[in-house]
Amino acid sequence: MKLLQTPGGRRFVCAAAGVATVVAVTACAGPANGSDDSVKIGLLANLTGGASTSFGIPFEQGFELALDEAKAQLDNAGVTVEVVTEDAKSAVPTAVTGYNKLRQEGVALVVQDSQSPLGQAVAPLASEDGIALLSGAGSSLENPDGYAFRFTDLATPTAAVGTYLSAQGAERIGVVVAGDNPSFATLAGATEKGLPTGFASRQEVSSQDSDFSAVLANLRRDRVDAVVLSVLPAQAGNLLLQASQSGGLDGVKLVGTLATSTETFTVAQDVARGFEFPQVWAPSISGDSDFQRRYTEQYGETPTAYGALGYQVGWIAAASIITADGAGTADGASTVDGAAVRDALPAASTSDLVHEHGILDLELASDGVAISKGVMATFGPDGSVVATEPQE
Amino acid sequence: MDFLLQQTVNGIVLGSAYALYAAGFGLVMANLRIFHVAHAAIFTWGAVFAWILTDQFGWSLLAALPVVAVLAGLLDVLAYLLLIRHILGRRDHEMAAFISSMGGLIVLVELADHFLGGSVVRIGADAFDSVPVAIGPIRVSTLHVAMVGLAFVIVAVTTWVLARTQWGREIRAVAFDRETASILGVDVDRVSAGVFFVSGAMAGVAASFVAMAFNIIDADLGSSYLVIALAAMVVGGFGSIPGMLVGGLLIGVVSTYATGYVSSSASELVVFVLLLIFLALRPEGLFRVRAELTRV
Repeated sequence: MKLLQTPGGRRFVCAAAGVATVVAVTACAGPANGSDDSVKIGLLANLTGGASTSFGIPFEQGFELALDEAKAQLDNAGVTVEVVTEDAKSAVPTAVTGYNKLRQEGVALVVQDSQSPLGQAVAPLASEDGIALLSGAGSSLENPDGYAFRFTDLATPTAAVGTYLSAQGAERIGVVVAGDNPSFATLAGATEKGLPTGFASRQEVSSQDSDFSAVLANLRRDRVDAVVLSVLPAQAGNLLLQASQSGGLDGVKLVGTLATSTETFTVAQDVARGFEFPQVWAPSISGDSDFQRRYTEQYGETPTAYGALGYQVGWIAAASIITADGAGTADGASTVDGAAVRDALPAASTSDLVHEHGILDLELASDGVAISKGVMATFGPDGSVVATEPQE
Repeated sequence: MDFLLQQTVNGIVLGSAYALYAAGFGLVMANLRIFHVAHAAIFTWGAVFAWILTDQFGWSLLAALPVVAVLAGLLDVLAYLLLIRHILGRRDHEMAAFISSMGGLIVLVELADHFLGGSVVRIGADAFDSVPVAIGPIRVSTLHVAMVGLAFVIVAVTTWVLARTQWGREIRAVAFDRETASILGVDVDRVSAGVFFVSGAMAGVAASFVAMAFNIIDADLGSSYLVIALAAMVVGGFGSIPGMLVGGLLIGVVSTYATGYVSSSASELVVFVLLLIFLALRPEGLFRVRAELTRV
C-alpha cells in the first residue's frame, strides 16, 4: 500500500489502470472493421511444420498466383482485395492463434489449406464470428450456420475409378484393401460405389504385410480383369512388383486410389509405368498448359495437386468477393462481410469467371461440401505424377 | 485343387525363409541353451549388408550372398564374444545371457536405424533377374525357386556337418556338456564361436532373400520374424535342424492357407493356435531328438 502513498506511485497506478482499460476495451471490441475500402482475405496456411512442403507452401503459391492474375477482374469490379497471411505451423494451437489474428484484421473469408484437425478447430470459431471459412479439411466440419466450406472431395474421384474401369470394359473387378486402416477401407467402399455390380474379389491385407503371394493367387483364381489397390503407396508398389515377378496377371489392369503417390514408383520403378490412379489434379505430361507454365515460371517448380487447388480456390475467392460486393445493400452501399461471402461462395465456384480461369471442376455446395471429379493420373518417365487426361 | 497346390507352393516359399531364420536361431539355442534374441538384429544387418552390396556397389544378389553370409556370421561371432562368452561360466548363465543378448538386440537395432536414417530401403529389382515360371498350373518365380533350393541345401549341409564331421562331433560334445568337452581337449570357445558364425551366416542368407522377395528393409525387419521363428522351432522340435526346416515350412504353409482361404488378418491367429496346440499336445515338436542329443 506504500505505493499509493507517494505521488509517483499514484501516477504509476493511474497509468497502469489506463493502459489496462484501453487493452480491455480493445479486446472486447471484436473483429475490427476494415478502415479502408479493401476486402481482406485471411490465408491460414501451413507454411512451416509437417504439412508445409506437401500442402501449405504449394497451396499458398497457387493461391497467390490466382489472386495476382485476378487483379484485373477485381479492378474492373471496383474491388480491392488484400490477402493477410498467417502461418498455421501445421499445429492446432498456432492455427487457432493465427485465426484470431486474422479475425482482428477484419477478414471476411479465411482460407485454410489442409489438415482436418486444424479445420475442425477453426470452423466453430469462424461460425461464431460470422466469417466464411474455405478449408482443405478431409473430414467434416462443424457448420451450424453454413459458414464452413470444404474444397476437398475424396469420394467423387475415387468412385470415378469404378466408372472408369467399367467404361474400359472391365467386368470382374477385384480390390486389395488394407483392412486395418479405415482410410483405405473408406476409399475401397467409395470405389465400389462407382461399379455397376460390387467387387468380384475382395482381398484384405494388413498394413504391415509384405508377402502378397497368397493374395495374388486368390486374384488369379477369381479371374479378375481389373484390380484396385487400396493400400499404402509402398505396398501398392510391392504388389505391382510381386505381380510382375509371379506372373499370371498379364492383361489385368491394376489401378490405385487417391492415396497413391510417387512412393509407389520408388518401390516398383519401371513396373509401375502405366499404373493409373485418381488424383484431384495432375500436371499434363507435356507441361504446356497455361497454369503449369505460369506456375513453373513464377516458382521454378512443377505444380502439384495442392498448388492447383490453391489456384482454383484463389479464383473462387476472387469471384465470391466480386459477387458479394455486387450484391451490396438496399441503399447501394457495399458490405462484403462473412455472411455475404458465405452466400456468394457456392455460385462463385461455378461462375463464368472461375470456369474461364480455373483448372478444376470444383463445385461448392451450400451445405459446405465440395464436388470435384478429379483426373486419372499415371507416372511419367522420371516417376513424377502426370495426368492421363488432357487438362484445361 | 490347382489353387490348393498354388497356395501350398506359396507357403513353402514363405516357409523356407522362416526355416532359415529358425535354423540359425535354434542352432545357438540348442547348443548353448541360451535365448539369443540378438539373432533378430543379425538378420536385420544381414539384409542391410545385402542392400549395401547390391544397391550401393551394384553387385547381383547371388554375388553378394557369400559376402553377406560371412559379414553376418562375423557380426554374430562378435555378439558372442561381447555379449555371451563371459557369462557362460555363471550358474544362472541362461537368464544372464538372455538379458545380455536383449541389450545387444537393442543396440544393434538402434545402430541399424541410425545407419538407415530411420527410413525403409529396398534392394532394386535388377539385383536378381527374377522371371515367372509356370510348372503346369503352378506359378512361381525363379527367385522363389532359388529361395527354397538354398534353404534345403543349407539345412542339408548343416545337418551333414553336425552328424558326420569332427567339427560336428565337437559341437555336439560342447552342447552335451561344455565342461567335460573342455576337459577332453575341445576348444569350446572356438566351437561356440563357430556355431555363432554358422547361425549368423544363415540369418544373413535368409535376410537377403526376404529383403529381395518382400522388398522391404528397415531396422525392425529381424524383430518382426522373431516370434514366427520361435513358433517354427517349437513345431519342428528343439535341437533338430531338419525339424526346424519342417517347422518353418509348416508355419509358412499354414500362414499362407489362412491368408488364401480366410484373410491376411487371420494368418497370425492360425499360426499361434497351431503353436499352442503343439505346446499342449507335443511339446517336443515333430522331430523328437534323443535326450543326449537334445542340444544339437
